Amino acid sequence: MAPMFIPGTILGRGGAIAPSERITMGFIGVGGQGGGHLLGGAWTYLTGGYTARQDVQVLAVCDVWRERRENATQRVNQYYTDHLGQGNYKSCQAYADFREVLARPDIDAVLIATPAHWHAIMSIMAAKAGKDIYCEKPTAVTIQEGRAVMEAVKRYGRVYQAGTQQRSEYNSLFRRACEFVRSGRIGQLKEIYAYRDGGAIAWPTRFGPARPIPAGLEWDLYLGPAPWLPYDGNTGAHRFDIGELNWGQHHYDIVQWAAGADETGPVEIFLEDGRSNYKYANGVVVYGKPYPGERVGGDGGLCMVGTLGRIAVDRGSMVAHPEEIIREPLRPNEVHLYRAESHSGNFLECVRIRKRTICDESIAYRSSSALLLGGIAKLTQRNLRWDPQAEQFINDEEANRLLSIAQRPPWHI
Amino acid sequence: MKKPILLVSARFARGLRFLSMESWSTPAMFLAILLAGLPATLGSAEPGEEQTLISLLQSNATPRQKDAACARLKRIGTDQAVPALAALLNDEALSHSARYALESMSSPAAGAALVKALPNSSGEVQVGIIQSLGSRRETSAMEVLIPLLGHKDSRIAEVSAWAIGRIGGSKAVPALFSALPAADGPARGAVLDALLACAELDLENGQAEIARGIFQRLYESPLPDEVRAAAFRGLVRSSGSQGLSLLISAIRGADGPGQVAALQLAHEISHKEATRSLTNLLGKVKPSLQTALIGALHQRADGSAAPAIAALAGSEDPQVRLAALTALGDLGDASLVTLLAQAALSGDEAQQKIARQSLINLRRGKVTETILTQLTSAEPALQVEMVRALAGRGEKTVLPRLFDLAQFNSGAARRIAYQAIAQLADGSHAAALVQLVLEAKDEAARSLAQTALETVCQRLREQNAHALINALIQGLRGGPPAGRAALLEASSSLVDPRLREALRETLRDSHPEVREGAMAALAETRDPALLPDLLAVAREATELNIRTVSLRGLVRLVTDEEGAKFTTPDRVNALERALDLAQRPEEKRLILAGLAKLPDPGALRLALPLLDETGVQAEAAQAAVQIAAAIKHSHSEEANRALRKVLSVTSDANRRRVIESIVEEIAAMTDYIKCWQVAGPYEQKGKAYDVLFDVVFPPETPEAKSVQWQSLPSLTNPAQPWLLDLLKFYGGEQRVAYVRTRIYSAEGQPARLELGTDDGVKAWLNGKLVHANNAVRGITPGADKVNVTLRPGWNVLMLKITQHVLGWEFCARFTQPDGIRLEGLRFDASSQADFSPRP
Repeated sequence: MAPMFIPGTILGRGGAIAPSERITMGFIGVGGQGGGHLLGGAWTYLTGGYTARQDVQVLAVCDVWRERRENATQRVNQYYTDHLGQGNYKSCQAYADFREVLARPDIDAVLIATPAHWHAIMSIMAAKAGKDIYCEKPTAVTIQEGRAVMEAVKRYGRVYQAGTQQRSEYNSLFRRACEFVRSGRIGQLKEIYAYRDGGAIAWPTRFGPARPIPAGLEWDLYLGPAPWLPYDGNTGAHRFDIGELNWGQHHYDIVQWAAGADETGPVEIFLEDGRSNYKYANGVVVYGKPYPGERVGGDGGLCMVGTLGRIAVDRGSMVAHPEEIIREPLRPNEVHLYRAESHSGNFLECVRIRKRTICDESIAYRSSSALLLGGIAKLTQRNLRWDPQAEQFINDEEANRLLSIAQRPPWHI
Repeated sequence: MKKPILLVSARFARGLRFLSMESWSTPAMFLAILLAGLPATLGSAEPGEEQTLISLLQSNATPRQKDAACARLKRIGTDQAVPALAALLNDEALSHSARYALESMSSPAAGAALVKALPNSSGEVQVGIIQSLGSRRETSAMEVLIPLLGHKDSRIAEVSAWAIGRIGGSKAVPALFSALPAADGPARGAVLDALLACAELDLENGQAEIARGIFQRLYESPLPDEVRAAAFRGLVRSSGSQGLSLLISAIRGADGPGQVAALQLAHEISHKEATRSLTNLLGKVKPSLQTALIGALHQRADGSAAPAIAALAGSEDPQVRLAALTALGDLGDASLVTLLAQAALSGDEAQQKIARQSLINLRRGKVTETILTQLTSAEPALQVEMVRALAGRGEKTVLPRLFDLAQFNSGAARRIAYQAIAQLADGSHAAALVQLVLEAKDEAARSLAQTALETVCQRLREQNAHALINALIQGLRGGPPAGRAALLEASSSLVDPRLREALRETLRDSHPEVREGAMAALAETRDPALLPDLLAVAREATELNIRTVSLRGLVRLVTDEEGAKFTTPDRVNALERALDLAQRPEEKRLILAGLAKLPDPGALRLALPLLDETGVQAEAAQAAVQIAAAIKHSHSEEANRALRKVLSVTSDANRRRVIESIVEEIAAMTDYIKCWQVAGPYEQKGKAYDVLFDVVFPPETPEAKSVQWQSLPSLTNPAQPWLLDLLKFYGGEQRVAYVRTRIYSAEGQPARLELGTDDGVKAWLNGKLVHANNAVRGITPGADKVNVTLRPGWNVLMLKITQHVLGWEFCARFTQPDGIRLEGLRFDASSQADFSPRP
């Protein structure tokens, strides 16, 4: 029998019971987003980042930019030197190629915050390597990718959490709003205004003029599954995005939660005033635009309209019309949703005891799909009918072709 | 008429560079469509379009053009495009481009072309073709893929295994098992993954026995932990009724991967006995496993697990305890009320928080009724927790019991009962609450009742407080003096004419105690109509402390953020009158503190003279700086003058630094142009902001004279007058507006135009386009900098500002070309201003 090795569970490594043992992590992509997760920063909701957490030990940092990975590694090691009282601490290593991080048997979990076109492939490879996964949004850039991530995570029994932290963070505003809606405080839910509409990925025009690749950049690893392009100076996280691919999943994650549609998706996507909108099987209509005149909702939020009133929520506030409908706190006999008050805390707890996270692989698949379906409607510029069970457009070959995108070898889902 | 192919190809060649971006609604896209002669809807191909693209692929067009054609054929290609695409599969530069189309076409011809190209390919090209076959789940490829499992190029072996795993079927599994012994590195991982995938396909297709055989073989082999854990998952899922016992044995067993997989499966396995079996296990495993099992049982949401979990709520292991208490809130029923209340008495903060929340969440069975029943006999500490839970559960039906508790108990239970009443009571309970205040048996009880009533008054004051006010008026008519005084104090947040009159009457009451209460209520009032009463009391007061109290009340009333009933001039005026009455330095300090909150030059004028007055200099300086900071943009000159005066009398280094930075900020922002005319909004159905950017609306045309220009209020945002808010003016999205102004320059000179816009901007100076930025962004002053030349005399600047969604703002100024302030410019956008073009 192979030596026992139980990554990151409450059982402790090697089967020994060691509940206090730290979860060991690798950080893949440490630009603005990943660097924030790692070390804290202006946008983050975790002071000091994962590095400062008592229950985590960061063992690896990976980035295609040498300067970034070396700086981040140095800062992690410095933190451990300063706070753990271990002089000249060198435990965290820098990597240019994420495959070397995945190959390390002593790493329990990875946090993926790379450019969007990498998210799904890295998640799948991490699952196959037996790692638990936190992945930034968008968690996939095509619907085929999203399904493949879900299947890989389920196949290997990994713990997966999407970077759609609105379910946990921001004083639970989003959870409370969804609980009110699903408890019928606004009557029957009729419409949701999602503020943003669909998003998609598109490979760029190739064969452009070349510039010298700067020293310290792994350009091929930046491109990954994207077509080969000569270096052109753009290593942005979202250079292949179109539409609302970057932010949309935050909005549609909450749309799905509010509509009680975490296990399914829309049945129709229609265009109106140039924006994509959705109909769900339960009759709820989701508009990819703001609620007219409502100031709350732009910051990751939405406005939910029912027969008795409406609730708008975003990262800063929740408002209702009429006001009374949210004045009384949620009563015990009303609908209670998955409760977590810290996104990273929820991830790590689930890693430890093998629970389902608040934004698991199935939820992430369906919320990314909602966003991407809108993107396909915008690309085809026509109304589409979608079968959420078969995961195919009905009678639309062209739209079905946009469910996937060919990836550059050797990278595949 | 048939178009000549060559001509159409040339038009495509121009347009196609944009097409592969698949971008929507960009001007480039529309341009491309126009140039290429394509329909504006991308959904359907134009007659002849596909043939044109095929011809292009077969021509000497550049790789860039062919790549774009492939991207388009992904959308519109039919079987007739397959040969031309297939011909590119073995072209190293364009193989990926050809795969864009062939990989996603549902036609068997596309699959056949990929299969046919495979033997002639090698290296990375071959890997790509196999990827496409796997992505398509191309069953006809199985025969050609199997031999590649042993390929010496590990990339080809790896991707072949992956593709075979996606395709599945009876030939796949034996081939994969045969390849396994020789496979190593990534290829070995891929073969194992493919076997797992094949077994899953079998399971999905109802072939559980076959699937089980594969999973079992993998699980029992000396393979990496992650593969064995995955195999164990499959084994359980494919074992039907046996799956549960496998899972239970694994949790108790010593095999790491099996145990981890089993724990993860515990929350999802659907076997009808699963909850019972897992629950039975709870008492037989170590604490670390208990914690994980409780987590799984919690997520299974089956209440039958609650008793066994409850038995662990007192575990010595803190993690087990916390997990149990958390789960019980969702799984437990009314029988757990005492257990949770007792757990909430813990000195451990985390445990207390969780137990309290669980007692609030508890919802199976008659929980509220049980709490009420047990409340009577419970010891005081438990009573406190139970009442806390009743309040948190938000059920108003329990209020009569709470009133009883409040009236007849003492100590902590009474205190918490009042807190619960404060949280739950509404107008219908007001009379009872008023009675509690009036009939309180001692001072402590009255104080608690008064506080509860005060909270209810504050909570209900924005709603219909009719019943509450009736109860108060009724109570003020009788009752003991101390009780009436307490009612007045408790209701000071309410604004109502009857209460106002009652207060005025009681200010003259014969009982000194009642008068004192009335005075306290007056000092706390939120009723703007009582401002004259406060002034009168302050003026007529013979006792110093009464004057001070009334002045404090006055300052609070007029500066209270929630007391928005006063206009700013009214507020300044009231404070001026208060200042006239103030005699002692502490009274003047109170008023300065009030002035500091008013962003108004009038407040500044009142504060400045006190800079010279002994005893209040520091407070006057503080107030002046605070006011100046608040009006630095709207009244920059007044603010600047005041700050300079404060600077002249301030030695405190910190304060000097603050003042200097505000002065600098004023200097930096004063040259932004604040007078504008505006025209719009302009929009076109179905066109987004970025397309409208290039749509020519009337203000851009020579007939611009017919445009209705109107004055744009300069203080769209008084705190930032340099920033003009079009959203506030027009609202909406996906539209544009134009703004214009005139600039007088004494001489011709080079200058820099600094623009900040949300979202995009075009700028014309004296009719000539000088800048265009089709951006979507938030506002950053000076985000765009454009070098221009100002004519001597009057110049005309026009901006076109696009609006995507949310914010819609702009700001603009001229500086010297190096960014240094450009003095001496004048601006004019009055309705009489002459905007006609000048030669």
